[in-house]
Amino acid sequence: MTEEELRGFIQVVTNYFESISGEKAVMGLPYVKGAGSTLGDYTGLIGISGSRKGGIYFTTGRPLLEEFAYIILGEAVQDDDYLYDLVGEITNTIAGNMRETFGSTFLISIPIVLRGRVTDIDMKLKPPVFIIPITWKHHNSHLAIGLE
Amino acid sequence: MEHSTVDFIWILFTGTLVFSMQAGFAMVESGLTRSKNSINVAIKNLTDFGISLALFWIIGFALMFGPSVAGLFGFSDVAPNLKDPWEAAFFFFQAMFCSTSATIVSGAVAERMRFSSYLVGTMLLSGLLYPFIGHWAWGGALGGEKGWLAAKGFVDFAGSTVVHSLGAWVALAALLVLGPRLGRFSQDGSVNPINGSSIPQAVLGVMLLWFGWIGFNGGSTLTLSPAVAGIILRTMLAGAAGMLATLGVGWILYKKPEVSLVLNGSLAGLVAVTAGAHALDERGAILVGAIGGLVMLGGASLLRRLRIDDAVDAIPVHLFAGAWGTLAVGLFGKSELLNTGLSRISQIIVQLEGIAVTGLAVFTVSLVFFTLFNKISPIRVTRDDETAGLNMAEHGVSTEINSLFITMDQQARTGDLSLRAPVEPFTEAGQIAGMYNTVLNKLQDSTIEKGEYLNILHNIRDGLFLLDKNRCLGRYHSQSLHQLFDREQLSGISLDEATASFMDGETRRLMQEFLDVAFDASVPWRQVERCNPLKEVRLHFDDRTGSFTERIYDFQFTRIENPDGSIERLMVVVRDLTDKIHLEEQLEKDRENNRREIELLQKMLHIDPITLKTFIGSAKKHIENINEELRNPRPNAKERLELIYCYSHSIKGDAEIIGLEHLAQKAEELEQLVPKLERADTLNPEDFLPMVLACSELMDMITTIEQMFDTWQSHSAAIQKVMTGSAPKHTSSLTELARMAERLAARYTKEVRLFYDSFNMAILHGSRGKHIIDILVQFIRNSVYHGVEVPDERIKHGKPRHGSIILKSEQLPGKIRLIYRDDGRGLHPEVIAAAAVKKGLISASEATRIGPREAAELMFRPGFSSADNPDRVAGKGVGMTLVRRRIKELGAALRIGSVPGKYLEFTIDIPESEEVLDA
Repeated sequence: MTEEELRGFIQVVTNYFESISGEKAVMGLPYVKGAGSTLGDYTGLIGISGSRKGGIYFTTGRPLLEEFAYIILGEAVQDDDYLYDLVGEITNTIAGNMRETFGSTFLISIPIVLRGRVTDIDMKLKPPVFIIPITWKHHNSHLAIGLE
Repeated sequence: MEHSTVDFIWILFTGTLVFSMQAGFAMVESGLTRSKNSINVAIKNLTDFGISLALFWIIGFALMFGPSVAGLFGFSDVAPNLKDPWEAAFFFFQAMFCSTSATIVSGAVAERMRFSSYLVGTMLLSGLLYPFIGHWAWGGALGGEKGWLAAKGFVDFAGSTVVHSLGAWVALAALLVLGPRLGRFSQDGSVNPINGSSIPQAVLGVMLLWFGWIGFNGGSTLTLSPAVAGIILRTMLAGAAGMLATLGVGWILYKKPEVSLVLNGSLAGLVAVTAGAHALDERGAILVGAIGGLVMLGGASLLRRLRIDDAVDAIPVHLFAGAWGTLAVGLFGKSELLNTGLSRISQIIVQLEGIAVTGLAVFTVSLVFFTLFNKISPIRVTRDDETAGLNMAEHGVSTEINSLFITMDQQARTGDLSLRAPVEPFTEAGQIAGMYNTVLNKLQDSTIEKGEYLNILHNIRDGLFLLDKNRCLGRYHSQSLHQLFDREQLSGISLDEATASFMDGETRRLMQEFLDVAFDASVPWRQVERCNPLKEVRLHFDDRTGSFTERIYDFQFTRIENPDGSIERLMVVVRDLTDKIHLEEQLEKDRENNRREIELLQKMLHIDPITLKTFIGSAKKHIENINEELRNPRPNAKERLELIYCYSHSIKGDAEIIGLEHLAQKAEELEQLVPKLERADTLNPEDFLPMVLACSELMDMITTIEQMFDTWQSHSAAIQKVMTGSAPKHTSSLTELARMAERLAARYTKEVRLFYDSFNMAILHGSRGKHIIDILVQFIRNSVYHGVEVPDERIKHGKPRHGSIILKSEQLPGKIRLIYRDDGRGLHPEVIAAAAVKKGLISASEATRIGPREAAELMFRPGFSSADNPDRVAGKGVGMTLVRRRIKELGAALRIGSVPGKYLEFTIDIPESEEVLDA
């Protein structure tokens, strides 16, 4: 894992937020993930394969998603299933953007969405896993990157 | 009336001849229909004879020849005893005629009429229809009043109308209710010939009928008079004329001399002359016969056009020719022989009247009867029965060709090639069955062969398939290919499409290029093989859970050439080498890991386990602290950075002491990131990315060492116990320090030794001891780098080659005193002052006033270093800061003493309490 690659992945995510909402998403201090789950309410998981293997997930809570949905739809959304789909869409778009950036190096899979504290998500990511906190409109979320 | 013996002989003889016509009808009909119905047709012929005979006796004869009731029907005893010999003979003769009429129906309705329904029809005909019409035309022949048609002058000598057309009218009515046979008429209007089982048999039948006709016409005079000769002659002539006329015209019309033309033509001629054989001359007979044949042709064509299926053309022969013959009596009959007293016109009219009335009455009654009867009980057999054949369906009898048929049908349905048809010897069907079985044997052999090939394809583990010139897969391929390519549909698909889901575009492009060359016959195979891009190719399969699985396949190609050298196909074998190659890679990785571990282990063996354990513990704690600073950063960035620096510096130092060079290097890298960040104007979180990477690498290393240590410990624990008792404890910390000093010195081509002078090891315990060691390490570094001179210089100054560092400890009330002294250069205030000025820490003027005390203080200022070439070990001016910190944490006091050129001494007074203050 190189610094460029880390930056690349982070940028895809922060740019995405900016492009949709006009407001930048800001990363916090990166750190190494310890044991224990750090998942929010919804998590989008993207598998990576090819020359190196591992995965990335983006996890966040309801507040961010509800505000995000509000921006897209123009009205308040509380429905669980809708938010689930929204996470899927977000992750899909991010995965697509990752493919554009890294497509020649890695195979980026079709993402899947998980709800709640899923325990075996760590199996998809190869340690060491870096956690990048991402703040958007004061809402917390983070990106976990675990690639060989 | 008196009848002569000759009359008796004649009437009985001719009656017998007419009886033989039953055999003729049977042969004609069964010869012209299919063998699956042959039994049914034949038995109908015999059965209707019995029924008609019985019914004619019971009631028919009385109706026909009994005393007339208004000329419509006769009436006398039912089931009579015929006492009068002539009456008996007459009955016999007439009964044969009745049976003839009845049996005409069986041919027309053949192959689909229910046996039971046919018999009922026969009863109607022989019990009702024939006697009535017969009465009208021939009533009074035994004496008494004539039937009304006869009274009018209607002449039908031997029964063209009464017998032949009557039977045919009934048949026609039945045909309309029955419908045509399956497959006889197509949707598009074409007529499909249904060929008879044996034409030779039909021919024989016709001959027999002709033979019988001698009696039919010859006996109708009821007496053997000279006129009979002429009648018989004319009968024969008419038959011949009918045959020839039909054959000639038919041959021209249909381009071929069809058999039916000859058969039916003769019969038509005979039927036509039957009405007037007694009143025509020879030429007339020929004319009537010939025209009769042609009328028959026309009738047959008309029926086909109307889609009425007459199985043996009985209606054209008996109805059309019969009607013509009856009419011809009026046209050509000699009036003096007719003996009716009617003019020609009148005669013709009467003839027509007879034809019409008969037709109307018989057809109408039959039609109504069959229609009604059909509603109660269908007169037609079921579709399946008709297809199976009436032999089987109606009579449960089979011909041997049927068994062959059954076997073949079963085989067609089940595909079971092991069945064989039964062979009836000496039969045509048996011959066919025998040949059929031979064919099956051959087929079974080749199928078994094919079965073997398919077996191989089904079970082989490698993927095996053929590629045609269009780069498409063939129809047959190994079953395993479906799993290998993760795909259901493979036949006929191009290789590019088949591999698209798991092979990347670039590889597929190379594959296409390779295939182009492979199919190019002008390129020698050896060259082609060399550019195979799919040897041990890495492929990625979507496992449909958000990630990919890597598999490694090997594709081998072989050319399949035509005799002319062009390439017909490529044969491809695909092997899954994933497990083998992953195993190899794993082995290599393990070997590499083992090597590293052994290296590490060798290093660790030189280290005291307790020291190592302590190191590991503290290193872990430090690195976690660093990570924690990133995870929950304190707001003051400067402090954050400083802390990170200190922690990494600690790890570095510790690692160096115990000799873990790699780890120390890694810690240094991490440490060095801090100044960069400190110098930056603005700090962004991104800037910490290199740091987190380095942090994780360091974590990794520490974890590896920890794991190895644990493994090693668990092994050596036993050994330790056996050997010396307890592992060396406290002294080894000092040994470590000593070794570190020696190593460091060597790096700078100096020699240094560490000595202890009543040093209390115990003070090196615990967290306090750790701090003290930290301090000592810095001191030693400092001594090696700054203080101790190179051996040559020392000798010049009259010192021993090696520098000495002495550690001493003293117990004082409430505190412990630690004394560190090296016999190096000592402090040169002016050197220090100069460096401080250079560093901008003091002004030049201040520098002049620097004494030893101030110099010592300067030494401890952050960033100060009087070294020229700072390196990893020393000279960066930070070690002393750490010392200062540690001293603070210990709550200790530091004094420095020095004589320039002679020694440098640090004295630390540490309070007794075990607690260490955290800065």
